Amino acid sequence: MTEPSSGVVAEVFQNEYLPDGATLVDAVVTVTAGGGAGGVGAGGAGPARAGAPAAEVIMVDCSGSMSGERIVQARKAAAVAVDTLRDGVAFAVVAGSDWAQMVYPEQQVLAVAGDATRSAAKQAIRHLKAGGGTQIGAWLTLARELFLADRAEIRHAILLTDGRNGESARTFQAALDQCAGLFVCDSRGVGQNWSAAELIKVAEALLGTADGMKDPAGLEADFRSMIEAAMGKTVAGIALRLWTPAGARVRFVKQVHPEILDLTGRRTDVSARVGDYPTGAWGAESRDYHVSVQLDPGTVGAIGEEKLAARVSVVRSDEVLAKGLVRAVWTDEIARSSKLNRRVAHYTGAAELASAIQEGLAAREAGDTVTATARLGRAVQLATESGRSDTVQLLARVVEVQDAHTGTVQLKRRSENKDVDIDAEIAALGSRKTTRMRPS
Amino acid sequence: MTVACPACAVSTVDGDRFCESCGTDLSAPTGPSFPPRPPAGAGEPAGAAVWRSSRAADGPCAACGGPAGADGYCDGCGLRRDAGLEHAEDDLPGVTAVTDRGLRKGRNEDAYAIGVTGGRRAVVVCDGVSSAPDSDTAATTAAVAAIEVLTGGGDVAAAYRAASAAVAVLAGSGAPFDAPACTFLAAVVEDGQITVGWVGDSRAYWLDGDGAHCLTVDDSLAGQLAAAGIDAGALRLSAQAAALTRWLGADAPAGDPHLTTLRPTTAGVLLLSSDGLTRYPAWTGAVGGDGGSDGGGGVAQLARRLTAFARDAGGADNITVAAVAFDPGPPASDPSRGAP
Repeated sequence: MTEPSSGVVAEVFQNEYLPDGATLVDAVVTVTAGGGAGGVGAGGAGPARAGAPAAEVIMVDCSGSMSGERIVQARKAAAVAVDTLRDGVAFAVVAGSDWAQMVYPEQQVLAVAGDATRSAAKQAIRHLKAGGGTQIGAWLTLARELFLADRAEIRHAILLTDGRNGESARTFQAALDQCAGLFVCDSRGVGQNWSAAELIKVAEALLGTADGMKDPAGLEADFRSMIEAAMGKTVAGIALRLWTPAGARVRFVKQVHPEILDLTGRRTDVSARVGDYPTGAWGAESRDYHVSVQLDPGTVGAIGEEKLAARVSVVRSDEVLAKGLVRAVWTDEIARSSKLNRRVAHYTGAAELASAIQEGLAAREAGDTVTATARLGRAVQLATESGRSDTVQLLARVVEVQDAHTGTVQLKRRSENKDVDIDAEIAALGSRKTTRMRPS
Repeated sequence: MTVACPACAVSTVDGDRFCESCGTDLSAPTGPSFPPRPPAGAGEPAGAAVWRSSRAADGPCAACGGPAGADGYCDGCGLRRDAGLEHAEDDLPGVTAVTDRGLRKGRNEDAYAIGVTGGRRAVVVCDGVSSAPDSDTAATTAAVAAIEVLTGGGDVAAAYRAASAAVAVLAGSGAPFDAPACTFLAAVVEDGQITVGWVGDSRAYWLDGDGAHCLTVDDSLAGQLAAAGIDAGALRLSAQAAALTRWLGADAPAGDPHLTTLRPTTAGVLLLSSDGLTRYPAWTGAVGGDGGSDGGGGVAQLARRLTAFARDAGGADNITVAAVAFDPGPPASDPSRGAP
């Protein structure tokens, strides 16, 4: 349901019928913001938001491994990104290595996009050189400082890396925690050495997309589309607010479309039964969230009784833009309670595939062959069932598929060929992107 | 223990749901946020408007004692607060209504409201459309909106318009195609005349010594055919033929209610019922040969007997039965009570 003139609609998809005594309630909530002009808030009483002040920081990996074709393509991509910025957007370009260095402007501030600053920025980008290591947390920390010194509402960053982060997990996590909520960051891996797990960490902390590619030639188009998407955002600080009944436990809240982002750990308590989950900045777009609630077994309804499992609302500060109800109705009719909601089932399968690949690759990295084989086997099986043959092909680079339908696989020996590994990383990122079911 | 009625200060007996004197709902919490229902015509008890309905009382959640949210669910445990009572019975002089969930439906989506003012007796029966969400809210809202008009002196058509408008605004702006919906059936008995108005398939019958005469025509293909004298059963129509062609709700077709009036010359009973009773054709056998107006205990017993019949017959749907005693003479200054 939508609130009058907010331009945002929340729709709930679920099978509300539960068998006697059941306590688990799952629902997919589709949130759609303004298909028309302006997007979120455009229809509201406030001023038009199409020109909400925006800021952009472009972080380009300039570590030693970037030398050659990669730095050439990275320069091109950064230049295209700068060209795509709307006039008036505050921006900076940062070179990342063992530390973060301002490329443009020279001082540690944001410049205002215009013909002169864009051309000066591109000039500076031409001089980007590769050398040194990869300390991603340090780059993000500089971006944070730049954003904090500026008053833009829509804050977006692009992070490009070709390698694994050289910082300790703790340092990296501390940097991410500091940045969370301040800006949205899309991260990209290029070449053969980046880690999907690290990019996913950035995506989950900073609510952005994560993608990776072997060939740097694709960077230019990718950077353009990232900036275009960022320029389309009209409002930041949108949260999914969840009310759950006394004694209930929120099992998880995940964005499941367009990409899987687990928001469960990002909850901020509003009151005892209400919590907010950040969703970042919005333009005219539609996203799906999977909400799973475990009700208190002591308060299960009688047959025929109906209870609310969650009130889901879309809020900006405390303004409610849209809301929907997740319900539970207990029934003794098995035909009703056994029915799976198609959307819930679809995204449950997609999320299981994504986590099977991520867990399998993590186990493989750690040398845990048994877990790696089991999880990657399951991933092959799930990808086969859901018709994702591209994922199966990528996984087949790291496992020998003996029977795709049963998920029987054998882990391949690790070779010196990095190309094999990066295919698995691409599969890990690719499996996070979901398709929507056609409405039925 | 006795307490004073919060509205008129007459002492009431502990356990009473309504003030005997002015009709104020005693179960409603008092205080600034829940002012007691103002008694219409207070100060002139003899002709005061009094009405009762199957609406559930406000107040804390029945399960956990928590407060209700604006969306009708408990803010503590999430329990849905049904708009109407699972079972309710009300008696006013010469008018009785009973509603019951039945045996198969999860909740009672029927509602009634009955009222008496001066020489007028008014009855409203609404049946929530089970394929629409929150139909119990639609039915209860419609019944209450209608009885407020009828006890305020308005006619059946005005009551319909008020009910229709009140139900239409229940729909959220998100899904007008999936709006709360109900049927409407109301009757006014006044000055020897009966006026019945309806939209949907809840029915009114005139019961006298000759049996049950249906006064309404269902708003469905099957209902229209039957009214035209065609044996719909022989046509072997699909189940779709019984589907409502008119209802109340944000997505309802526009139009006025159907109206009919009659001036019976004999005593009898006006019966209003949801299809939870009339779906069992044998119900007429439970009326009693005299039309139920006497011998069987009057309208109070008749309404309860027919409700029990529908439950015993299977209780497949919610059941609501309202009965009004009719006397062709000029309305008595002290109308005899339905229940002895």
